Amino acid sequence: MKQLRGVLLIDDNDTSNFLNQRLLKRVQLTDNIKVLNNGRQAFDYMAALSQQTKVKANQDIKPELILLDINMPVMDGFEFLELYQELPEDFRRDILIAILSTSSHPQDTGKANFYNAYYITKPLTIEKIEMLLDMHYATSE
Amino acid sequence: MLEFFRNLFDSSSFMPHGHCYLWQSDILGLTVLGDGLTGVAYFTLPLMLFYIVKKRVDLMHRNVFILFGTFIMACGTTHFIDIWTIWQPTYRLAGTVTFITGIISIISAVALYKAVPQILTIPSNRQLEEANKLLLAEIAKKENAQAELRQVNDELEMRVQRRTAQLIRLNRELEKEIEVRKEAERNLINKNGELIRINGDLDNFVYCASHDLKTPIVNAEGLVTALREEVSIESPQVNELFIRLDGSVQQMHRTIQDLSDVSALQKVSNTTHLKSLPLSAVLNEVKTDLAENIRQTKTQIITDFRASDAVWFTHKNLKSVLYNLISNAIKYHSSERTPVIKISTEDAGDYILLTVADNGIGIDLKKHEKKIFSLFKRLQDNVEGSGVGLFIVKRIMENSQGRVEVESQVGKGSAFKLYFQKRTTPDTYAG
Repeated sequence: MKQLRGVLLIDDNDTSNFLNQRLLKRVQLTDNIKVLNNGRQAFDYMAALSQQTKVKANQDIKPELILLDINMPVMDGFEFLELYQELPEDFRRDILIAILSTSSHPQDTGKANFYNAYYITKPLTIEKIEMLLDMHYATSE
Repeated sequence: MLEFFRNLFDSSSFMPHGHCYLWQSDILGLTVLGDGLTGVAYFTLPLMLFYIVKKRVDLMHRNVFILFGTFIMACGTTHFIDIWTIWQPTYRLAGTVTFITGIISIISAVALYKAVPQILTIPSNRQLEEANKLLLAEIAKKENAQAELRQVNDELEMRVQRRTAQLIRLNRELEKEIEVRKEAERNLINKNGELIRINGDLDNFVYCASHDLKTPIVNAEGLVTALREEVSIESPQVNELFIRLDGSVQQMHRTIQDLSDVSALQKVSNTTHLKSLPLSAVLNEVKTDLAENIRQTKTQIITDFRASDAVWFTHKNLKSVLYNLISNAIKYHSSERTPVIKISTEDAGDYILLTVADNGIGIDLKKHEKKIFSLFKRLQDNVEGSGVGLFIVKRIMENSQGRVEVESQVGKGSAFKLYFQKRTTPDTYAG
C-alpha cells in the first residue's frame, strides 16, 4: 500500500480512534498518526500548521489524509469543514479529506460532496482505504 | 243707424200702447198684471238657476244654465217693457230689447241643441238608483269576499308564524349542532397536530437512536475482529464463543441498519423528486446487487414490460421496492424447484400494475395477512430476515399514493402487486 506522509484522525469516540489507529498501523499506511477529539481542536491544529513556513525538527508533520467524524461535541465535522475552507489553498492542496461516519443519510453525503470531501461509512476497513486512495490518486494524477 | 240709437228713448212720434186697448181699465189692468207677474216670475227663475249653478259646482252644462237664466231674464225684461210702453211709446227701445232677447234665445237654443246628446246620456235618478243598488250588492259581495280573504290571510299568517317559529327553533338546534361539530373538529385538528408532532418525535427518536447506537455496534464489531486477531489460542470453545459473539453483533448491526432505513424512508419521502423511470434499467441494478444470491440459487427472472416499461416514481424508492421483493422471493424460494420470478406490468386504469410473482414456499394468508406488512414481523423462522422489507415496500407505495397487494398459496408461490399511480397532472410534480 502507498505510504502517506501523515494521517489525522478526528473523532470523539476513543474506541473508534483506537480501532482506526490499529488498522492504519497494521497496514503501515503511515508512521505519523495524529488523533484529535473534535472539530475545534482539529481546526486549531491545522491553522497552526498552515502558519509554519518551514518544517522544523520535533514539529508535527502536515497530514496527507484526514479522516473526519461528523457528530462531535464542541465543533462537528461540517463546522470544521466550513472553517477549513478559509485556510490558504496552497496549504490545503495536498491534503485529502474523507468523512468517516455511521450515517448514510443523503443529507450528510450531499453535504460532504459540497465540501469536496470523500465519504466512508463506518467501520473503516482496509478495502475502503484502498478504494479511497485509488480513487483519489487516479483522479488527481 | 246712429239716428236710431239717438232716438232710442224718444217717444214723441208714437202713441202709447194703451191707445190700442182704448184705455179700457179692465184690459189695461189684466195686461199689466199678466205682464207684471210674468216679468217677476221671469226674474225670479234665473236667480234660482244662478243660485243652483253657484252651489252645484259639479253641475254639467253650466253654460246652458247661465244662458237659460239670461234668456229668461231677457224675456222678463220684454214683459216689463210691454207694461212701460202702454203709457210711454218708446218702441225703439222695446224693439231693441226684444231683438237682444231674440239673439240670446237663439244662442240658448243653439247651446241646448249642442248639449242635447250629452244631456240624453245623463242617467235618470231611477237609473242611478238601480245602478246604485247593483253597486251596493256588488260592494256587499266584495266585502264578503274581502272578509273571507282576510280570514284566509290571517290563517296563512298564523301558519307562516308557526312555521317561522319552527324554523327558528330548528335553526337554533342546527346552530348548536354546528357548534358541537366545530368543537369536535377543533379537537380533531388539535389531536391531529399532536399526532403529527408525536410521529415526528418518534421518527426523530428512531433516527437518533439508530444513529447513536451505530457507533458502539460498529466498534464492538471491530473489537471482536481485533480480539480474534490478538488471541492466538486455538480452542474450539473460544472459537465457538467468537462465532456467537460475531453473530450477535451482526444481528444488532442489521437491526439498527433496518431501523435507520425505515426512519430515513419516512424523512426522505417528501423531499424526493419523481420522474419517469425505465423498469428494465432499475431491475438490472437490483439484479447486479443481488447477483451472488441469484447465482447461488440459480434463480430465473422473467420479465414482461410490454404494457408499460416505465413508472412515475423516485429512483431510490423503485429500487428499494424491487430489491426487497426480489430478495424476498429468492430468500423464500422452495427447495423443491428452481426459483422462477416473473415480473410484469399491466395497465390498471389510473395505475400501472407491476406484479412480482414467484414459485416459492408461499404464505398462509389466512393466518398472516395482517402481519405480513408489519414492522419486524417474520413469518418464517428458518430464513434469515429482519421483517423490515415488506414494511418498507408498503410504506413507500402508500407514501406515493399507490398501494401493494399480495396473493399467495402455500407451496405454490406468492405474487406481490404494486400499484403505481400514473402521472396525473405534470404541474403537481413540477419543481
